Amino acid sequence: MKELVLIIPFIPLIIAGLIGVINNKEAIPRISMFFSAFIAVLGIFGAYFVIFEDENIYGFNNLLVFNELSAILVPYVAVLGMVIRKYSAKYMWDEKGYKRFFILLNFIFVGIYLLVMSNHLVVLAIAWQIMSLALYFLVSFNIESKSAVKFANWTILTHKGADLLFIIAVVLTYKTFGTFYLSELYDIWLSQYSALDTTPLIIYVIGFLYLFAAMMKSAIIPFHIWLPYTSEGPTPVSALMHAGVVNVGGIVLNKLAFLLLLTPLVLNIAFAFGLFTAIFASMIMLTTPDIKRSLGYSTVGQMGYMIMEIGLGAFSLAVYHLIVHGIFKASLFLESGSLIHYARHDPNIPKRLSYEVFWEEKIHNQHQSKNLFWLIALFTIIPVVIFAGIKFLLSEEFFHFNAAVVILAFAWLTGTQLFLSFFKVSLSDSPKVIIGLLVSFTLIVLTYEFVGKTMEEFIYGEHAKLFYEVASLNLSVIFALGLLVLILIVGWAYIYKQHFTDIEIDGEKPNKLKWTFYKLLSKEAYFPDLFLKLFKIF
Amino acid sequence: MEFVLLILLAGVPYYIFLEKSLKKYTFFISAFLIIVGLLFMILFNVNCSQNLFCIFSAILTSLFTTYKALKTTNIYKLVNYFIFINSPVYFLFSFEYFVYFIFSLLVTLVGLYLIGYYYEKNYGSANFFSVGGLALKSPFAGLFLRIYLINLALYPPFPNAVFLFNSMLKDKLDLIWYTVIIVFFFGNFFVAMKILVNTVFGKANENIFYIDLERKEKIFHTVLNIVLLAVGIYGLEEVLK
Repeated sequence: MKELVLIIPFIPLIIAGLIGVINNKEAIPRISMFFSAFIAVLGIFGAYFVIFEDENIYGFNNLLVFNELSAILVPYVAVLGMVIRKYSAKYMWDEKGYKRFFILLNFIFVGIYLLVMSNHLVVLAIAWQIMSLALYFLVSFNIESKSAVKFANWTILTHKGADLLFIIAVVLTYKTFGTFYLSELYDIWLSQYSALDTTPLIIYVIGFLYLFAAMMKSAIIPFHIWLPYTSEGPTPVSALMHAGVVNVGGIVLNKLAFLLLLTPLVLNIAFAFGLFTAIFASMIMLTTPDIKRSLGYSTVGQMGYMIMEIGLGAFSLAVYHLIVHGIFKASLFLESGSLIHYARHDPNIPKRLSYEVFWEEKIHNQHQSKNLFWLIALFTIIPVVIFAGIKFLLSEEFFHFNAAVVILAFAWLTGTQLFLSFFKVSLSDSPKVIIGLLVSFTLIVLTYEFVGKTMEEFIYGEHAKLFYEVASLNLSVIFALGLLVLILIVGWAYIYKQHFTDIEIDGEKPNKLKWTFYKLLSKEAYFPDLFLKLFKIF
Repeated sequence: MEFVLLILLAGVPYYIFLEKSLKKYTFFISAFLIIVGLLFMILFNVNCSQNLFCIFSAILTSLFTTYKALKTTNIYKLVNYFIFINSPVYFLFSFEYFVYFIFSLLVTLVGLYLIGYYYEKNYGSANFFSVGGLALKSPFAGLFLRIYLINLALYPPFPNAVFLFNSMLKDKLDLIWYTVIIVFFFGNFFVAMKILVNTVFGKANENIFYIDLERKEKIFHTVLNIVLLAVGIYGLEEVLK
């Protein structure tokens, strides 16, 4: 009976097959919803079994497994799948290729479920590539649009690179460790972690291949450009992409977490890439005038945080983060359709809760102090500093789990920036703004602290602490590197200033450095131009 | 013998004699050359996997063919090019997988050739320039073409990708192998994607009356697809064992 759970990845295939043969358009969403509800029920049953019986479910010659990670992710994907299918049923009704859309949608779910539930590296590699292909056809769904097809090509190109790295990594893993089965590999990796003094180079190569493949799929800078530009696809596809597909990098790294125990340098590099992506993508987001692209960069930034968490050893926190971010971003995309619909009837739309709470007061209080933005920033940073300071004094493990929490708090600050830019409350005097920001801050930090710990216990149990030990950064090296970067930046800025001739405009000297930086951000670091020039092949 | 194989498998006769006077049946000659090469390998038990000259020549052929393929819009030409883009693989794959790979490649190319024939029959030539948008206007032609191109672009569970993977597992990977993989992996992918974007995708040409595949053609393409899937699944079963 319990093995029934393992048919989950094949149910979307059945849905796609049924949709392919029926001609009744109204039956398409019904079939889709019925079977996806069935998946959700199976997923919840599986999660119940794993949690309460404390036993993993293996099947299909151990090719598939329903384990702790599946128990968390399968119900999430199933519910997300139901919502997206329900939304698409009406949203896509008048589009050409309604049937094609639902078939492709189900194919991508086959890939996601296989990826989450695979216990075999070959199955994982197949799922990985099915997702690339299905995503390509979904993003280019509007096949008559030249730009949609062009950006879909950027997507498939990046994903093909990820596919190649992943395939080579799988082959090398097999050749090095002698098995494809993840359950066996976990034991090998754990035993090698205790036994090996130095990790052989080949294991580092494998770790880096997996990391870079994951970063390409998760749109980490410099492999990010496909994500902000693919919002031209149908809204449900954008929701799925930002809530599900882009997270696969994090999911796969979680599945390979024990391998990364052997390769601390890979974790440190992941942290560096994640950190840079989180900061840089958030900055680009604030300068991008296109709201959909801005949301795309917001997701890139969030993926940066996710990879950064993995780099810190907080693997389970990354899972929690991807779920929370997925729900948030899917809601944003799915709500955008109805907002546009309302806005066409009423020029004052969007008039949502955030609008009523913050925006209306701003209109009445516009004349008051404009320094409140800085006050808000102060109020949000001070608690983080206090929190971090206390933790640092009380806990020796500050740079373990809590480091991740602190960094997440900073992630929340970026969220605040997003919040402030979208809802235009930056100059508002309303105390509600401060209270709203502080409450959400407290909630985020506490939730991450407690939920993160609980999930960690559940997924990795006694091994969770090993990740933090491995991922610990050498502070003196980091400090030296930071100092080096600082010297470089200061030196460069000094030389730049020496050669810069100020030209007064209306009695004011323009800050050229600032504008150059702004230009860099607003041009999205020239990545789109580079892609346009390099990839004219299609 | 290795030199003879190089001539046969790296497309020398094609580029010297056949390309300039390209005819519909040229594909069958190219395919015949490959099969003859395969038979030579069996009869004389030749293994070229250590012959650097052969492999580098094949890599150059592959790069040159990819370049040529990206410049043309003629499906008959492209069918020939796909044979030679894969040249390095013929020398490097272990024999067992080489046979399967050749089989699945030729089956796919027969399908693509038939799509070229469909283009010629309905739109005047096997040239796909300005005859895009098949997915909406001729859905069956679009669907089958898409499947052939997915196989050629090396996506599982179709056999080309599966046998590449199987061969990677069995052979000893060295620098040459990695070079070949990269050339072959992206060469096939770029050309397949270029065809896909210009045929299946795009706006339909309003000056053309689109016709979909006939019943007989549909059946034949379905059979080809089933064969491809079956071979792919067989290859997968082997690796999953």
